[in-house]
Amino acid sequence: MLIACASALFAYYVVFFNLANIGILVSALTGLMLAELIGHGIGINFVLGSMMYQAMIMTTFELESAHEWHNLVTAILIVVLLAIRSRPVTKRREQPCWNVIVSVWHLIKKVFDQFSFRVYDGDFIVIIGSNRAGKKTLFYFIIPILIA
Amino acid sequence: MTYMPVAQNLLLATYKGISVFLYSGMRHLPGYLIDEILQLLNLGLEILLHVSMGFLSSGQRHIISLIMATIVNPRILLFNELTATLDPIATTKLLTFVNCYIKEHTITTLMITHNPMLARTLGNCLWVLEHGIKVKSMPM
Repeated sequence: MLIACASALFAYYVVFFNLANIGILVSALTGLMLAELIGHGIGINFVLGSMMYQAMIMTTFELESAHEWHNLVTAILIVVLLAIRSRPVTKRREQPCWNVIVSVWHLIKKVFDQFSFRVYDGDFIVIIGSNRAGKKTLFYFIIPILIA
Repeated sequence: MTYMPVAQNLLLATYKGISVFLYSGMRHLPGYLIDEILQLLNLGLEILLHVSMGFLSSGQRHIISLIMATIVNPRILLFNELTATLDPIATTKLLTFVNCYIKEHTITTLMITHNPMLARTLGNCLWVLEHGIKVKSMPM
């Protein structure tokens, strides 16, 4: 926001366009929104955004001197920017590897088909077994349940 | 976190499950609770409080992670090969601590081990797994 304000001030001095204190803030905010539309990251985008905004306002002043038109243009610009910003970004959906999921599911179902247990408060259960007996896999089942 | 000192790791563990801004947690020095637990273990870890986790041996890291797990009084504990990386002296001390702690706080515990003696000493129920099936379940 500070960068946006600084950019607005910079644009104000460069374009010699007279704005009051609130005007600088509005200019900074709109410049910030325009900058985000121009590109990502900080830097020249903010200055460009502020200058674009002030150029638009200057155009309205050139065409019509009434302050209402200036306010209307600002409001329309902000609404348009908000509408553009709020559009959902279409992301590339990652396709799950269904073959792997199905095969893993079958393996798990096969392994733990006949497995049920009940644990009471204060129990100390020791699980022993040979390698690949499914001890750690049992934990992998329990942990998501505990987290949920 | 290996680049952080033991004390800060323990301190982070105390904030487990509590929404707290990370920086506010890092500012304070470890409290009485950490010193108490380290002295209880009696493994000489008090002098390592300000040493980075990266400089500790795997056994020491194992003990620290156990302390981090128990520091917040959990309802359930899952141990996987608790004493696998420890020497016999540390094993004895750690098991004594675990036994006392679990009995004191009545924590439900599931422990995987390959050591039948350990199973007999600590557990009150033994499950024997084979190919994903519980072939034997016996109280102890």
